[in-house]
Order: sequence, then structure tokens, then C-alpha cells
Amino acid sequence: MRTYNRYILALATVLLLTTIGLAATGEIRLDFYYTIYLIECLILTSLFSHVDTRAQRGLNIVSYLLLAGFGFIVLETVAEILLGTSML
Amino acid sequence: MKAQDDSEPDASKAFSYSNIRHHNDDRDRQWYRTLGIGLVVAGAGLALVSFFIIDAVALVALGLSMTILGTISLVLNRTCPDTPQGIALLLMETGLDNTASLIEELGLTSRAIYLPSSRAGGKPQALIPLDLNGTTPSINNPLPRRLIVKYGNAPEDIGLMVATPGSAAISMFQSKPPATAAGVESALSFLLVAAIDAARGVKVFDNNGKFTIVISGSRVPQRNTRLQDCLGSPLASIAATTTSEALDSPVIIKEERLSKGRLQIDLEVLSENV
Repeated sequence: MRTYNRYILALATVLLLTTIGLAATGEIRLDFYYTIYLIECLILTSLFSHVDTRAQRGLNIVSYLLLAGFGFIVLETVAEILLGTSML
Repeated sequence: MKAQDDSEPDASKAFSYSNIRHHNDDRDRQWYRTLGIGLVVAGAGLALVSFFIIDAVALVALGLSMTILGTISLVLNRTCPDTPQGIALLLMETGLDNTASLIEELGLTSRAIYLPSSRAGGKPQALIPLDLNGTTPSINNPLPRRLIVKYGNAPEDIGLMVATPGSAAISMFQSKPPATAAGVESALSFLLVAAIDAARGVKVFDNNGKFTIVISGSRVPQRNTRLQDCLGSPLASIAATTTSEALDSPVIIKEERLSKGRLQIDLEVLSENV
């Protein structure tokens, strides 16, 4: 279990530092925050998820959900360009 | 490995594996669930309030990251084993006690030969010869998966073939480890450090067919019993089984030494048997 604890701690640290860093630089694009979170999650998950097949399966589902969120951001941006209106 | 000087069962050691410093899975499960639900609820609330009321992007992002972290915690909660660790320890104790009784009853003193799955009926097993006479037996043909097996032509070439902690651990590999020192090191690191959390680090050195495995930060206590004299400690058993399976050759634990928190295991690969 210590591996999973390390994974959670690493992820929490990275996400928090990213949020603080981006907020400090005055970043106001939510999709940019989300994309950075997605990349960090995928990297850390691929580093830690090899330990257990059940964990790997579960974390893969989370990764797909996060990618679906990214797809939504892309669609929203495309719609904004084409239609000139934001879905949010 | 030290010899045991009495054959009487030692009640004080009967459940010493229960002393393994382990995390309670139920507590871990509860912790992941509580953390997950807390982070998802708080994160979603923060994100919604920040987005619709406060209009602060940084706080929305913080809420999002909390929600992601919470979801991952909930997923990890589901990966905790269904069998409580206490029960698993009791089952392991029972299995090892039965094997110890068998070995003591038969008066076996030989060191076990760890056989790969290809030579032990599809599952890695340890062969304890009844009488070695100072020679290492040649095991040229695959042995049937039975308790008492005949491994040679001579009448005394009979041994006991038993499952070891390594036999069960090997099933955690998705594929056969590569037949190199680096491959064995990688496989053992995955198994002992990441999967079963029994040690902090593993190093493997190959000295012309003699493998030396150094396990640091071992969390499994050593016992001085006849079972351990034959099979080696649980960590040595796992190391021997993994090496045997990787090299597809029989392996003997020549020596085990524990010094300064490091367990050094010397393995001899019986490559001439191939």
C-alpha cells in the first residue's frame, strides 16, 4: 500500500504546485490548467500503476474520463471558433 | 542458514510472521474512501462556487484538481484486496506450519532445489531431496507435480516437492522475467518493493552462474527453524523462485546473511542440469 500512498502524495504535490505556479503567473484559462493536470496525471499514473492489474484497470478508466474532459474542451473551443459562442 | 538444534515445536515462534510490520488493509481502504469522498465533494463544491459565484479561475482549478485526486483515491480504494491481511497471514502460517511438520517428521535436512515451472509440472516448486550425500542431484527431466517424486535413477533419488512462498508470488508476473541479472533485479523489485511491499530495494549481481541478491529494508522477519534451513526465508524463497523461473534452471540457496539491515542471498544456478 505504501506505493499507492506515494502515488497519491506525489499527485497531490504536483497538482497543488501547478495550481500555485499557474495562479502566481496570472493564468486565467481554465482549459490550460486542465490540460496541465491531465498531462501530469497521465505521467504519474504510468509511473505508478504497474503494481496491480486491478489498480491499472481503475486508473485507466480515470485516464479515459480525463481524456473525455479534454475532448470536451477541444469541442468547446472548436464550437467557439465556428459559432462564435461558448458552451459554458 | 543456521541449523535448528531441537525438533520440538517452538510455541513462541508459532505466529511470528504475524509480526510483519504491515499496513492494515481495512484501515487503508477506509482511508482511501474517506479521502476520496471528501476530496470529490469539497473539490466539486469549490469548483462550482468559484466558477458561478466568485468567478476565480485559480480556485476553480484547485477544485478540479481536488476532484481528480478524490476520484483516484476512490479507485485505489477498490483495489485493496478483498481478503483481509490477517486472514492471509494466518493461511500462510498454516501452510508453512504444515510443510514444517512434514519436513521435521521426515527428518529432512537437505537444502531445497528450486525448480522452474517447466520442470515442476507447470508451477514453480521446491524439491527437497531425502538424502543428498553431499552431491547435487541432476534433474534432467520434468518432474510430475506430486508431493513425493523420484528425480533420478538411483533408489535413493527421492524427494519431497512442495510449494513455497515464491510459488505463489510468481503468479503476479504477467510474463516470464528476462534471463539476465538486470531482468531478475527488475522482476524482484516489482515483486518485493512495488507489489507486496516487503522490502525497500533489490540489487542482483551475476558472478559466473552464482547470483548474489541483496535485499535492503526487508520487512519480513527471519526465523531460525528447520523449514527455513531447507527452504530459506520467505524473501530468499521468492528470490530463488524468480531467478529459477527467469533462467529456466534449477537454483539452490547457498547462503543467506543478514547484516546492517541488508539480506544477502547467494544462489547457485544448476545450469549443468539444463
